[in-house]
Amino acid sequence: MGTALVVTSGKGGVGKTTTSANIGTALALQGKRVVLLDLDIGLRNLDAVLGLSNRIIYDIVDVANGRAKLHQALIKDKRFDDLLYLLPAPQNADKDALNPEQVAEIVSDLKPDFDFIILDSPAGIEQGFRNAVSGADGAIVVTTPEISAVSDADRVVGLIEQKPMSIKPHLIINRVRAHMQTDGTAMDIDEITAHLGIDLLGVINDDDAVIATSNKGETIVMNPDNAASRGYRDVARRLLGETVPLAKIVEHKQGFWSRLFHRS
Amino acid sequence: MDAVILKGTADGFGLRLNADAAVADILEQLNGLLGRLYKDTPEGNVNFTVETGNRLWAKDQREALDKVFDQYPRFAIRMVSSGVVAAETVDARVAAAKTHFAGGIVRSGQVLTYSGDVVFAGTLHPGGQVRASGSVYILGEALGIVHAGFPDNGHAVVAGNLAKLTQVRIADAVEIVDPANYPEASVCFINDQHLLAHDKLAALRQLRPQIFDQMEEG
Repeated sequence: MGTALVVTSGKGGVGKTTTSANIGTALALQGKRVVLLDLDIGLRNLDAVLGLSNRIIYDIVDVANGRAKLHQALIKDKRFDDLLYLLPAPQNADKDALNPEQVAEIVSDLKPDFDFIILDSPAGIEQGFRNAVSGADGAIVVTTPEISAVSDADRVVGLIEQKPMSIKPHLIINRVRAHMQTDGTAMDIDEITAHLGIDLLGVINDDDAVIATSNKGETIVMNPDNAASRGYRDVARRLLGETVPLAKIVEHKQGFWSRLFHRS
Repeated sequence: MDAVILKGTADGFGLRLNADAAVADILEQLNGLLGRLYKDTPEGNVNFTVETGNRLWAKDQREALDKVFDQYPRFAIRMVSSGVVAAETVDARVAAAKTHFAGGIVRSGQVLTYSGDVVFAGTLHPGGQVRASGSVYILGEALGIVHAGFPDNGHAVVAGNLAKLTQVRIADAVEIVDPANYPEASVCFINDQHLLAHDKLAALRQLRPQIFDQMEEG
């Protein structure tokens, strides 16, 4: 039986979809069978990040309403053999087109066939969030080292704790910039973790390559040398029960000669 | 046995309504009794204290009682007293007299509400709120809003390390906390001008002696 994890944040734009795609990919690279559920009804983009947009025929609302069978709507990512699947969101339906019971049912239908079911939650704490949370066994709360994101994460953790899941919520701090950590202008990682009072699952470097790869329909995890990629790979290993120490947040330093000749 | 007994007391007339009699009988006898009294006393207003004994009069029964009195404009009910109290009223009173211990994390958007006093030994995050009808004593780290004396108890206080709070509220008064203004251990209260004021925690003994008397009795 698989484990269903919801990726959520409250605030928009902190990297829920990127995190879902990368954790999913990283788990698939570890040989696990993973299905990603896009629950951002009407504003789907998990398919775009994975480069699977052109293959969508049926979506999660079609499955919930019986217009399509689950296996018809699932899209296989051919880069990962038989390991990574996507259940996309519709683009032209309202966010109320789905209810929590339907999501829970789809998740329980997927559990026997997959090791991990990752639910990508929309921003906010309304219907879409409740849908995403209802089917999950645990939550991954994504935040960035900014007061607005941390405050929303706090609110979301509070909502999750009201209906406890079997796995306690875990934290990912995304878009961490090394130089802002060292000069103390961004919120400190330890401070955020202690404040939110939940376990830290991983810290992800802010890296231009994350945006560049997702624009190409790839995930950064496919590039083993990137710092953000290592962050996501470590998260996947921790999810599988390994003890992995936190990697140092590295600053991308330009050498003297490169600064001299590549002025921007 | 009479359903209604008229008594003269030091501060006027008392009507004892027999708790074992039927309400209809009581109302009928009361009507007769008041009718006779009304004739016997041609002038002057009379207020009656009504005792119901071991019976709670329901709302509609109470209205029927008022209707009987309405027929006699010079007669009125001063108060209705009963020997018994409804269980939920007692529960609410007991809860309000208690000191509650609250802990854990109160997160952004959450509101913890208590009736009575609260000792808060947890973490109160920004955007979270601890609200009590009595006083709030803070032992833990509190960064959000503390509201004591909710909604209208101006005698309540907020005590402890208040410097990190966003706001202190007591009854209907609100203060936006300026950390530079608060010592480590302070007490916030409503002063004589109905303004929020604060002082060192040690001043609580003089400000609200009844809090300490209560402790010594208990």
